[in-house]
Amino acid sequence: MSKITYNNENSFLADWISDKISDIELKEKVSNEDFLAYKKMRKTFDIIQELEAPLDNTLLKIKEGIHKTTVETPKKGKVLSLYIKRAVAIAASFLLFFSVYNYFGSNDVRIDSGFGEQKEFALLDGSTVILNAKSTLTYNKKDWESKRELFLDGEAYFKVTKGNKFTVNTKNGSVTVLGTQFNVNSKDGYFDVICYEGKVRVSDKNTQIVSILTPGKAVKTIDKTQKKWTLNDTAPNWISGQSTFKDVPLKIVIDALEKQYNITFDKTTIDDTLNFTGSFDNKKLPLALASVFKPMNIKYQINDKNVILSK
Amino acid sequence: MSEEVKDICATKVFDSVFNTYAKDLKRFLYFKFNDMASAEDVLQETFIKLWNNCSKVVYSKVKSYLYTIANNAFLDIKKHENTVRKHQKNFVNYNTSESPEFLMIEEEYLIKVEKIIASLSEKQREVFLLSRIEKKKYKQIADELNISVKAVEKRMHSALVIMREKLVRTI
Repeated sequence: MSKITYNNENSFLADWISDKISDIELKEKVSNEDFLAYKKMRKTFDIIQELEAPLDNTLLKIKEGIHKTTVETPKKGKVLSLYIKRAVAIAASFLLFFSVYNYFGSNDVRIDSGFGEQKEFALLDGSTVILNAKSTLTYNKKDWESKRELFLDGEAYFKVTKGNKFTVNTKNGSVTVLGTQFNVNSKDGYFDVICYEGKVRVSDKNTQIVSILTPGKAVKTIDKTQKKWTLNDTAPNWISGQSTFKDVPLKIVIDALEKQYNITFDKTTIDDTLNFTGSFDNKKLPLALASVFKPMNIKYQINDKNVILSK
Repeated sequence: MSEEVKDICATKVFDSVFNTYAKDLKRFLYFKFNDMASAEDVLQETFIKLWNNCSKVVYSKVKSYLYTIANNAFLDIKKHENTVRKHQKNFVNYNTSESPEFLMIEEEYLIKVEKIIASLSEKQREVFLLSRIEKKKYKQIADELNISVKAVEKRMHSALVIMREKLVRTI
């Protein structure tokens, strides 16, 4: 039988269940049998809580899933138009909350990385991808066997296994390869492809230029002007904890800092079209800011999550 | 026509089917899987299937349709898990619910706990539900009920003691 009585002074169970005291502290106050019983009760409460919780979010996700499947097989007719509009709104709001969400009933796979996060994963053919901070990669599981095609927004490093054509599409153009290693960085007004191994074909939407890259060769398009360059690295530096830039407008570097550290910059008083060459650390913000702005003679002031830049 | 024919393809009807059955179906799935995430996934999958077949499912049979789909999905997943386990013994990084703290809660036990919650005194039940089900802090509960935090803590403590005693008696 339980030994605890309703002593007026006691409220340690209330403390324990609200995490004010630990399991160990509770164990000192009750018998082992009671302790196990309370643990089991607590888990049961949590289950009841989850089973009783409102299912609004579930319904939203179902509608998102419905939208996905109907886009694939558009045979339902007019009834759907309402759903599609709602589902788009829902899809947009959900991107904020789910980093990896494998849509049920759909074959689209979407992988997102958060601020300062790098994600490494394997594709269905054994190719590997490392996604840099705040980037998104999507592909279709079902079509994968017939065409290896992905969509990228942001930056990623690909190690591709031999096989048929492998294509990375971006807003700025597409990159096509046969078994190789390469890095793609596609942002607004900035498109950068580096080949580390094998051969890469780059088709640039902004300049309409198609180039073939061999190892150590790279192309970079900034505001519709394409430049070719070379390098000696065997893999991008951001994989090993540094972000490196060569003749890149400051605004691209600032954008990378924002994605890496989840901060914002006030850059109204500086010229962010100046080119920057150098690298920054991906872990220590003060160090990263110093290595970017000191050489550029720009002053910076950190206010919580906002950094003010001035001449 | 005397009987109203409800079309599941209509958003309103679909939503009301969801609101009527989703909670029970989730519970059903939870006790099959013993895992909340799987229950949630299959719940979503089931309703997406219902939508995709909305024109083929008769409104009066929708409940048995949902449970059949959910149960089949459960069996498929278990079958798949067994196959995967056989072939990928070396595959690490597999999320399982079998943490050292893994504790299975049987359905009968959970029902018993629910009955005991219902039998608590008004004051204790109020505090218990606000804290454990609505996940409110003691301070919030105290403000809401216009009592002191100490009083909230005491009610919570005594609610737990009573529940523990009742569970001993009924087992």
